[in-house]
Amino acid sequence: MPAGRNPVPSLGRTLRLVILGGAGVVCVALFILWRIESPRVERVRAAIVDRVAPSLEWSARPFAGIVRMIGDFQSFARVYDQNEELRRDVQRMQSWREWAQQLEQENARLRALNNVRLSPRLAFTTGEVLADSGGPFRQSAIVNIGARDGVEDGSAALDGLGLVGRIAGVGQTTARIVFLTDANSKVPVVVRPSGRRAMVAGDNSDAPRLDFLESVEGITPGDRVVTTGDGGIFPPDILVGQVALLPNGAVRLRPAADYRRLEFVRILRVDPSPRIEGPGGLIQSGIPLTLPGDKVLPDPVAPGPEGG
Amino acid sequence: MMERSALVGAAQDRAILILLAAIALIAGLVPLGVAAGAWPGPDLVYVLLVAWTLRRPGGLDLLTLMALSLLADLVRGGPLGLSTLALIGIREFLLRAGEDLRRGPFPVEWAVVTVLFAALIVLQCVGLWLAFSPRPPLWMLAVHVLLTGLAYPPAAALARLAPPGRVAR
Repeated sequence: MPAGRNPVPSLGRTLRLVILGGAGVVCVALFILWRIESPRVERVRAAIVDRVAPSLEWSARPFAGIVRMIGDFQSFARVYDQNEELRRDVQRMQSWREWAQQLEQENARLRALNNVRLSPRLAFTTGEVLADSGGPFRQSAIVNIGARDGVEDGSAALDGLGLVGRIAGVGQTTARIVFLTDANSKVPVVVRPSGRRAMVAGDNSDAPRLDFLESVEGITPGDRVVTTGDGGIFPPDILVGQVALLPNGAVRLRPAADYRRLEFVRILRVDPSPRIEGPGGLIQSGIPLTLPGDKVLPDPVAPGPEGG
Repeated sequence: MMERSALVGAAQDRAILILLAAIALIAGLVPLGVAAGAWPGPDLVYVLLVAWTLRRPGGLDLLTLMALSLLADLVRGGPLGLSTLALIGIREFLLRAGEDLRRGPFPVEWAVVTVLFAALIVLQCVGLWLAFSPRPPLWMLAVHVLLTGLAYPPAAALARLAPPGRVAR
């Protein structure tokens, strides 16, 4: 800095530098806080999205509708062909439906024989996609259901067919879904029918990688990939997609969920079945056990002061 | 009453910008390109903030810039704070070089704004790299920068056309 131009640093100039420096420090601190994934940041974010959501609902939705209509209009020209195609599809589907009903009956009979109990605590809430992430740094979407509707952090989000992603950040009336394709998304899966375990790791491309696959032996393109339920985040056996083998030998996943036409999303609400961890209450050390002769028998199953 | 009218003018200026930025933010969030392979849209909030800094007579104050940029970061769900840091630097640069840019031909201004946005993206990537965070692929960022550059002329026109709250100095 030439000394002749500004011989004495004025007060205003110093103040300005201090303010700028302070603003910069605040930004860097926010970034570090975000990187540590402080739940507080996510809570603030969810609260703000909650506030923004109503305006999203009345502005973004009509706009998206108009753009979709333009897209549909382009396919108007082929409407006759599509009609024919649909009619053929309906015929084919009717035969499928027959078959499915037969299978359902057979399944019911077999289940009755087996006395199987199929996770009865699985319920879902359906929401509408309000917004996408609006930038290249995150593959996510905002849906119009939140904590009020029983959505929790980590819940699985599905479209009609398969897994879309997981919930990260829940507000009162909104929630954010991080897609399988996001670089931060990792989901433990198993490839059927070979039973090989792997991890679906997103990398911002259409087809996420299948990491930690011991070998590709016995795996063919088109094999079904479902969640394992490891880690207790997702329930097991949710369809994730199909295996795709690239010419260079890499194994990728073709998601079953149709991200291009993502409008409605089902959020699973799982009440996990109670797990047995550690010794039971009766033989737990530290709880005084009294002999049957005594009057007072402490109940080890009684809820604590928090009420469970 | 000169003081008072200037104050009201500044408030009006800011209100217009906040309204436009809110519209830009929501327009960027419209769920059209949800798929991972889809093109990322332009950063409409950035072009508005820069156009306001460069082309409004009074410029843009630091607090409004930070608030709007942080809000956009929070709603979008990406990394927080880095783009705001870059925007503070960009605002400082434009306060110094803005006069020359305004006097020069528009394409130069346009190119400078686009290059500054590329610098913002690079800063974000470096920050993510330092924090061991995954980064989006390069082609996606390139498309993002190009589309944002294309969105600048309308924003610049808007900054000109919107009713001026303050009298040019």
